[in-house]
Amino acid sequence: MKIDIHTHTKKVKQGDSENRNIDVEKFTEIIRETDVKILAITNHNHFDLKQYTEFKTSVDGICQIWAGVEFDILEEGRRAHLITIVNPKNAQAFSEKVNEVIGITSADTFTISLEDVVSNFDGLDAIFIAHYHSKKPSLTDKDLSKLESLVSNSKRVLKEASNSISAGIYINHGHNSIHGSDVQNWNDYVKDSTSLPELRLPVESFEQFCLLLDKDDTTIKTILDKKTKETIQLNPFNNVAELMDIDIYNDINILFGSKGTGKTDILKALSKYYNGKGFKTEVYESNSKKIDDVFDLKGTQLTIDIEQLGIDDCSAELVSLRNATEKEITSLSKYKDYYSVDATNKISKNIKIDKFTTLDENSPKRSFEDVKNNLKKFQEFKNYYTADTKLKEIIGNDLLDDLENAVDRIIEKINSESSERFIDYKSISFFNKLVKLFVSEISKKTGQPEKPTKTGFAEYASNRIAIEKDVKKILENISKTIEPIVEEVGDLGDKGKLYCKTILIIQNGKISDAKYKHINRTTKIPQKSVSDKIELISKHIYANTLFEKIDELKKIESSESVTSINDLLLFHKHFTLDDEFYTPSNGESSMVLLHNELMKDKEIYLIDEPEKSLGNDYISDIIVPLIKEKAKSGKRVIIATHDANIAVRTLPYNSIYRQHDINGYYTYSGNPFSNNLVCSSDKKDNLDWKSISMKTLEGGKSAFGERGKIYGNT
Amino acid sequence: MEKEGKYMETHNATIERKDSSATLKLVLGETVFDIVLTEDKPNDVKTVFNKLLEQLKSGEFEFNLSDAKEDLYFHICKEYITQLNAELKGTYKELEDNGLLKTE
Repeated sequence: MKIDIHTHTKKVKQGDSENRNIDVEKFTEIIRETDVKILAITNHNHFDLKQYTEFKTSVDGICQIWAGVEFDILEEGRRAHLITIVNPKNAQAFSEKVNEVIGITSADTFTISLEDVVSNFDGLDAIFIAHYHSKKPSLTDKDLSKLESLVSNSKRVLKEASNSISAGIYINHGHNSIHGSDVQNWNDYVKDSTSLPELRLPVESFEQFCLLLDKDDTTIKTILDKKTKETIQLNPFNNVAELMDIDIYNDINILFGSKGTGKTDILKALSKYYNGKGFKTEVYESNSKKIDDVFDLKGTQLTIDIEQLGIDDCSAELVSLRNATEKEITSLSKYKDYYSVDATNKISKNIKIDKFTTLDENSPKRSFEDVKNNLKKFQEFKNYYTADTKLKEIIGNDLLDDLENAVDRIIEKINSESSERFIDYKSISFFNKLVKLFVSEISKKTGQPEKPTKTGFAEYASNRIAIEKDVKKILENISKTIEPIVEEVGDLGDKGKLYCKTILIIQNGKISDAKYKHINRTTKIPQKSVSDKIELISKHIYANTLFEKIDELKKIESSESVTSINDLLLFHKHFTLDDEFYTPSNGESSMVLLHNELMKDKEIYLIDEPEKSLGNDYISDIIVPLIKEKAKSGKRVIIATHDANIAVRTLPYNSIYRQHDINGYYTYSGNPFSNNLVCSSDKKDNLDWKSISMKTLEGGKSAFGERGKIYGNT
Repeated sequence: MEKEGKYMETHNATIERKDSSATLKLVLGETVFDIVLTEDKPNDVKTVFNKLLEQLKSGEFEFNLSDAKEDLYFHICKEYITQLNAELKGTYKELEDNGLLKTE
């Protein structure tokens, strides 16, 4: 929620830019694009009630429009500018007064004294914002003292700085200060509005804003109470005497105080409390976790299923390879034996069937199995679409009938082909069996040697072909490359983005680099030897030594532990920056881990000393905005910190201060808006939030020096 | 014989007879593979089978026995070659079905 207390909607003076002129449509469009929720129209020595009313009406419900004028003040011959903004309820009266005071004098030449401004407008419930110091033309400190003495409430006098840094410095010196856009060109307003002051508390009216200027406790409490809060009783120190009730807002809650005052224990007690209520919380402690462990560089949790990466695990092929045995061939002596003996049995001489050569039955068998697979797949497909009622609803009966028709025809065709191939296969199979049976029976009956029916080449070759096929498939899958898994770790600012890269490779027998580790293995497995041996086997498929090599594979110690290509998988998980290996420093690790913690979608964030190992810039530019974003969306952010960037610049709804003295420990709570801290035990006087923050927190003074970015209330 | 656009080659097979031994000689171009008929040497036969299998990857072939003498060895070799040819044919198809033929 931004506030802009200084805008121009008209070129009034000759020196004004034409780009200050804006019509109601464009104004509405621009305001809708910004986060500005309060805007004061403060043209030079001029107030246009009609335009004010139009603008106010057009953005009603989006942005409050306040009525004002930027007066040219003349004091002791010096000119200065003073913005006077009145309660919008008095806009009509304000308009009349402005017209009365200015009369027919042109805006270029009109001047007014401080006395006249106050006497004419203070009664209209006004605030006065003086150009100050570098914001020219400025009122002097003397002029401001005079103004403060003239107005009915000196807290209604603010100083306008030229930018947020200056405003922060003025605030640090105890001056109420603010700055506005002083818009020169409405075309740039959306962009310029991002640097406007942010209202931490949701101010709903001009009156509420003025009460905040007065640090009115009731008003602050009313606004704070709009946020949900819960009063929690904790026993963080396991000591009944130190039971504490603390309020936790759905916003930023800061725990601060000297070291050793139990802040971490309070966070842990809160975590226990919330976990007991069913939330899943844990205290994030900076530096307690190593980035290497968080991102599991050792891969203890790494599980990869290579089949999901398009790689066959070849478990069946590895089993077949290990179980492969040589097929024996027909001995030549069997032929010699058979032909050396003359057939004497007359009947056997007449039988011709044993003279037939057996036929190749593997080919028709494969042919039949191919079509059988096709049939199975189509039947599965049919089962799928007939069982899926939702699909039926989607595609409709007509389309489903067309599909049914086509599939039935295909199944019929495949069935017919399947029958033919089955007959082919079986007839050859029966024929071969018949030949073998006759050969065997004739031999038995005649006492003659059995006639060999095959040389054994086909079976011998078939066995080698199967081995070659298996080995080829295994090696093809081993040689496949896997895309590395890259996950974003975090932003290292100017250095770039830090990534965690997991390189996955399959041991092919040649990888000796020690940086590649086995996945999910506590004991060493002989990946390299196994792969190496399979490669060697592939070179001996058509050699007599093939089975010696297969035996060598089986004899490798623990080779049975390699049951699939999954077991050959190696990984190297590491961090990269610009795609180069990178080891993040402790500070960088803290940065990304904290950032990641805050990026998690949680209801409750419990963070202990997030500032550890982090630079101020990173805290201010990255962490503080993130914390504020969480608060905006109603999350409970509870932070124990010594860092003023966090404790002050976030302007927490709730500050819990822990103090220790000779008599014991004390818990105070308060906020920057009321600027006090109240002791829970009533044993101690209230403390000043600002001075305690400045004293207790690291970087307290400078944090207050830049608070102009956020219009708080100190 | 033409098979899928390729001619099936026919190689020569002969029988070499010596005093106490006989050998079936399978001639593949300039290479001759010997299968001794008078001794049982399965490893030698397997070596020949390995070579035939490797050769089969380059194209289908069969053997034709050229021998005029009708003795025991002729009958053995005639039967052996007939059976081997049938098995070569089936094996070629198996290589083809498994995508293991050499592509030109």
